[in-house]
Amino acid sequence: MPRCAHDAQHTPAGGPGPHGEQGTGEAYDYGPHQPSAPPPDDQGQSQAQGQAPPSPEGYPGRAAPAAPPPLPAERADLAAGTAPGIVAEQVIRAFGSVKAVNGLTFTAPRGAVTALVGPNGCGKSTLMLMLASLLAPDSGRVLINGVDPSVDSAAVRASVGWMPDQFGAWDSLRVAEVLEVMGRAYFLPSAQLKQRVDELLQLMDLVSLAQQPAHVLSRGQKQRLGLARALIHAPSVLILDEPASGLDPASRRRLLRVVRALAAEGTTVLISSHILTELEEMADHVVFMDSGRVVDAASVRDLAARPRPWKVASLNAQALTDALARLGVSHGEVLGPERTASGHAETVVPLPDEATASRLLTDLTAAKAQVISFGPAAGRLEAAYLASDAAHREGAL
Amino acid sequence: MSTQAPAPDAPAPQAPVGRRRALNSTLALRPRGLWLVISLELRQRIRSKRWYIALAGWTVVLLGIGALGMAPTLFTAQWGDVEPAAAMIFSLQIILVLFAMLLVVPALSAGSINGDRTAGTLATLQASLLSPLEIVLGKLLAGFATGMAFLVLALPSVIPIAVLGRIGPLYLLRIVVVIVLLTLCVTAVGLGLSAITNRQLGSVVLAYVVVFGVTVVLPFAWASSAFFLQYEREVTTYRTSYSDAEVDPVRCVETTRTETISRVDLSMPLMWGNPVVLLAETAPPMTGTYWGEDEGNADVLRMLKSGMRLTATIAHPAHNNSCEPGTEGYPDHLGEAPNRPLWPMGMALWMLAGAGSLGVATWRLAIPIKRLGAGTRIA
Repeated sequence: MPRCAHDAQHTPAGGPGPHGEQGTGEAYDYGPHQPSAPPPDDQGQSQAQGQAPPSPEGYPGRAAPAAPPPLPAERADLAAGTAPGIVAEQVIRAFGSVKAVNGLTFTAPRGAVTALVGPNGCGKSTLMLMLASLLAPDSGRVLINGVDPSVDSAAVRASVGWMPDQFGAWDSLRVAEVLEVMGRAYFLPSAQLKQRVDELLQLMDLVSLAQQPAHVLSRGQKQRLGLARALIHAPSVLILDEPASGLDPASRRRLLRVVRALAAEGTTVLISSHILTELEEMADHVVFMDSGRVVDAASVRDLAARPRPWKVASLNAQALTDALARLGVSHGEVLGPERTASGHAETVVPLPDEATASRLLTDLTAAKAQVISFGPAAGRLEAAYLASDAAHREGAL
Repeated sequence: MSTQAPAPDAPAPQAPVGRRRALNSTLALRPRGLWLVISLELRQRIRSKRWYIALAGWTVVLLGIGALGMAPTLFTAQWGDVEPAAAMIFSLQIILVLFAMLLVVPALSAGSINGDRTAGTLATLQASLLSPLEIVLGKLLAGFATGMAFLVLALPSVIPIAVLGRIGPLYLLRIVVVIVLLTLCVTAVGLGLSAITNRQLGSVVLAYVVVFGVTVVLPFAWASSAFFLQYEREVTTYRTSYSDAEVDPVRCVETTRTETISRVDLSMPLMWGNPVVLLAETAPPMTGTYWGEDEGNADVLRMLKSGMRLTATIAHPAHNNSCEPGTEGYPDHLGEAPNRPLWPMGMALWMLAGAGSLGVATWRLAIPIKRLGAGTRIA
């Protein structure tokens, strides 16, 4: 990765970065800001409904603009009047003196993929155990399709497919047998079971491994088997804990396709991962967690309107420097072509949103900055995560 | 992403309904679910070479011991002497089989729950529609079936000696039944220990401690109690007097003196659960015809049974009467010492321990888990 780009990824939006920002250190202020909302409260209750006043700082890291129209799946859900796929309400779960989940509230709608993002130990897996009906909250409650696992655990388990972060398989069983056992554990009729197993082997590209013992599988193959196992009973809520861990690029693309297809069919998908770039492609919504609570929540579409660093590459370092100065844009150090992997002059500009980025590109071109490339230095999720306190703590992504 | 509060029409938890459903969900027992767990456990074992090696080793060792026990007798004794020797060797061989089962069975079951938890497969089953009771009973029956394989493979070494010793089929059947029941109970206890301990090694060791405690430690404690349960009291003994037989008829003479006796009958509950004592309870009495079985051929189990039954009523005055009935002065008022069996109490203890262990294991597997032991990972 080019040094410039690497540095840019670790530049908190709006703060001084490794490039040594010139100017005031504030964001590029090129026209009126979008209305911004204050950060969500501790329970992740987003107030981004388009009514919040503009932020006094220009563009706060967690500010959200006016809420976009609901996604098609949400519209369908609202029209149908059905309960959300997953609801967590003021959930607390402690292990001894450690509160793994501490007053967490969020909702994952049906027919959409919701990403859980947070540093190690922030309570993601504990939350998923509660959603999978394995662990009871100390207080608060979770609802799966409107059903509380502590009231009707069997109904919840029938509708939830859970893939744990560590794949545990019966080593001496063959791949197809693992799926068969899981199908029987969900009491699928024998007539359907064979067909379902074949479908999933096909879907997860495990046909050639069907007769192999599970213990010979690689980590990535085991992950694929784990996902197939979670899907065996066609659950309406899918909970995936680090499903992309250990997957090769092709398998990750397959995972993306499968997850998106399931969501399109109406499945509620909750997924945790540390690979933010892929989550960005996969997820409709994101919930940022830290210390057992939701610290931010937004749709991925909303994140486009949030501040993040943009990388500008130019054929001429001086032309770029002059253009930025003329436009009054605060930016990081302009690195000469000899210092970048691309061979172009590069700098990073923190910008409040994509609309502003578009205008800056137009103006840089007009100012003869000889721009050769212009794009986000970090993904939406990554930028939003890096702007949070959790990103700077031990155990962060 | 919406983060609003739950929909107003979301059902509020109803505690009694929830508890009833949770109980039903925990205790559901469906043949398909039970068979799935049994077959899953057995399938894993039959695909492991070490099990075949263990079974083969077990068979060879028991056959070898049987052969070594009988060979000297067969080569040196007259044919008429073979039968009592074989009966004695049979009882020793059975005790050996019992001890061997007690060594094998805890290893079969005492790691089956925490071992699966460590491997990450338990949570997968718990998150499915299988009930905790189906998982626990499935594992119990799979462990029991494996234990039975060891018992069946022990029979080729036992049956020829039983034939040589003219051991009655009912005696042999009773022995098998007791070993089967003990195997089932020890498997259940191992399963319970496996459910309450985090580490597989810990539960296996604990299971062995239980078996060792019942089999070895408690008999020592019982024997030691003889020193603490000594009482001085007047004892009246009745002996036949032959001194003046030519002048007077044979008569029963009463002698009373103060003796110290050990009331080990009071500490007998320590021996109720002893597997060897339970096994001995299957033996026919030392004397008398017993359903077509011979009345002779003493063996270790018969002697042990008689000894334990005597000890259980040691304070009864009838034990101090050595006169023949009909003798002049015979103490009719003493009556007969009761011959109370020990096995009902012993088996009841084991059954209670086994059932309790199954209950604990089922409770520990019930989800959603409210309290989690320190250091326990769900998945």
